[in-house]
Amino acid sequence: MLDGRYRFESFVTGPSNRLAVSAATAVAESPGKVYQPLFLYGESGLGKTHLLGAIGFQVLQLDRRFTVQYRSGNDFVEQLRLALTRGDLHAWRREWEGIRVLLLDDIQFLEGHAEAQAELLRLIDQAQANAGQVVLASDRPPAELDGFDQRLLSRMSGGLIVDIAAPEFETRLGILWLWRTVRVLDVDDAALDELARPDVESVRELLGMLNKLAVQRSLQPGTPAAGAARVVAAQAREELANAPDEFENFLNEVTAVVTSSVEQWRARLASTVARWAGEGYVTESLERFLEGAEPPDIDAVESQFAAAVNQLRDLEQEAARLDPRLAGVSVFRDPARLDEARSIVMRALAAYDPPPGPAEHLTIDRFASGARNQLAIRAAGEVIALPGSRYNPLFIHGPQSSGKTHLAHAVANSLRERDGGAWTVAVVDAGALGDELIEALRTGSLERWRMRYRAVDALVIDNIHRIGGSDRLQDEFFQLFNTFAEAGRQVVLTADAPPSRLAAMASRLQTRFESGLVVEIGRVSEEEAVARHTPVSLGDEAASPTIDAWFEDAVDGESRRRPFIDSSGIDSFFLDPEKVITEWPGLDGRVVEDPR
Amino acid sequence: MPVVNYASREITCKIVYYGPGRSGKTSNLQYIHHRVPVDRRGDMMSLATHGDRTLFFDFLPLDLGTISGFTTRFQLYTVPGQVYYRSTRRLVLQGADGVVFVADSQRRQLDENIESYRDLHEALAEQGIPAREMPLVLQYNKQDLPPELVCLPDELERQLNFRSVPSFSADALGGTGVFETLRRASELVLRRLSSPAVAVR
Repeated sequence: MLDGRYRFESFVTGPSNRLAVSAATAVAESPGKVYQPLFLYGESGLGKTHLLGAIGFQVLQLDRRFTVQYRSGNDFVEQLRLALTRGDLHAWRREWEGIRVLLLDDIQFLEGHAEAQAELLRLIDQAQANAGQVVLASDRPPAELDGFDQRLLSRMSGGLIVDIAAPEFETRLGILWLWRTVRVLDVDDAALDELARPDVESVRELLGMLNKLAVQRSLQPGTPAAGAARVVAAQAREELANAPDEFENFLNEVTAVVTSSVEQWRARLASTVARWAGEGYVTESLERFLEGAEPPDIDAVESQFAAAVNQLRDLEQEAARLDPRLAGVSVFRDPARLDEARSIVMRALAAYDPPPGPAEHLTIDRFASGARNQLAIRAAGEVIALPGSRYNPLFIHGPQSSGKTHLAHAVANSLRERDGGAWTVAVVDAGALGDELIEALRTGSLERWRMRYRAVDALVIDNIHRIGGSDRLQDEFFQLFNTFAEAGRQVVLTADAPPSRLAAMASRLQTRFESGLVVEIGRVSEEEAVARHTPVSLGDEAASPTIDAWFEDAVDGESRRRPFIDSSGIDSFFLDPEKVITEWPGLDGRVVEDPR
Repeated sequence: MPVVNYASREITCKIVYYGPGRSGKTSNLQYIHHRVPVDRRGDMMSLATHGDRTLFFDFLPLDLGTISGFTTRFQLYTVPGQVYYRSTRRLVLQGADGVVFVADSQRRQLDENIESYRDLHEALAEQGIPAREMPLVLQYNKQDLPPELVCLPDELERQLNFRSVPSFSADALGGTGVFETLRRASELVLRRLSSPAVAVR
């Protein structure tokens, strides 16, 4: 429906709209002959509807035989929908086909309406064929219209596309002068000059300011118009200045409301979750608390999570050092998988930086059996056959040089052959273990030190009595021992005395040592000592299975011959200051140990 | 009921702009759409086609970012105001957390406003929602039109606001009152987060 108020005479022309007015005038004077279609676009409130109305009015002024129709995009869509619902599409088309000048406003509302777009495309084509005129208006150019048929966009772009910009000062002033006349307002030029100064983006805003001024003047007739106008203009400027912050203000208010409305513990926990999630960590364990009805101990929950994250970071760093391919593996981002992460690092340590293993030549085959070590040998055999389940720990004690170290290494070597040689077995002297711990504490690599030993399948500690008196080492060993015991992994210990007689040893360790099997490697008899021509006095720590073996070997012949140790492979074991290494002549280079 | 999903730490609120045809509901959403930074809003869309009928309403999703650890999203809808879209209005109103009733201040539209406001209450009743429990804000739009054409806010208050809910004068095309209305509606909706009846997933 055409609004008779919209005419070219009442449209104030300025640089911001001059081209649009010129094109509209041309179309109005020669419909269907100049721009087909004419496409006007611009922000709301800049005069698009006015120009459409002015075109229609002017066309009718020039020739009343023209049929002119003004419709908004919404109306177009709705009327078509109703026609389709009623089954009156043909009647609808006849009505629209009879229109010579079609003025369609707000066509952006046709977005997504395929049928309406198809009908408009048909109407444009028909207008082109029959010298009709189509004028379209939108809040954006055709290229920015989403959800439109490409053929329609192409047609709309085929005529003339003109934009209408926000009015500049002179245009705003002209608009205000015009409206002062139309509305017969008692406002002087100075007041209008004040009103025109703010850079409002819409003619409607400008007219709103004029209305506000008129209302104020009617309420306070004596007020100078210019002064009131300055106030209105100042308010407009303030609104303009604030306008870009509208969303920020809204956001701030929503933030305040959410913060005060969500239970504080949930907000805090949710923020913690957001923080860690933002850093890429899996936060399911925290989120579970969020779903609960009751608040958890937030401090504890947060600190535990943070501690787990720190451990994961250390583990990842260690893993990457050992194998760069392990950097960034997802397990290092999930505190719930901390054990799994540890396990990965432990495996890597076992592969790339294993703890010391057994001396390879100290095998069970080379261990000389004798009358005094049968029980120990049998126990060792059981452990080799059923590691971790039969005798755990196996505690071997005996006097110095009784062969307990050899037997322990022999057990370790046998275990290492399990699963096709896949087992890792740590063998370390308790004194060396203490040195390693001190170094780990000094260098801050305690966790790495722990994992290095925890990674192995079986653990052999020689001379465990040497941790006596060191509380810290006993604590660490206690943890290590428990890890192995809980996992059913074998521990073999040697000492110079039974657990109950270990000096300065914590009772919790003594009881654990006794929980498996404690075996003694017995002393050699006086006869055996004499037979070997060794300066062993009865009752002294002089029994040596290796000596026994040599002796028995010599007595019983070749069938019982057991090689001792190849001198070419002297192990650190023999460099023990507690032992004396002797090259015995006539023994084909064999080396034997002899008590000091 | 605003949905709070603690597992995914999301708050989602649905606000429906209700009112008679051409009262300015879509203009409200368009103004908001223009003022919201691009990265905070989705496309404003009109949903259409349901069999051979047209579901015609606007939808504007707003992502307000993370607030107190919760990803906060608003979904703004308009209902079609025309009388014959009654069923569509009920459909859109389902699950609403709050309602903005946009009244057309033009004097000649007063009856349509009253009829639409009554329709809103009927729709709520049909869905078993006590009207007094639904966060509601009134907006008297088109107050920028010449005074001789519009009812002033006081008169509209008397005619419509018998529940004394918050109300705002507005010029949705120019933006006056648009965000004030949304802010108040949002506040009413979000205040219910602390209500024990809040929906938790």
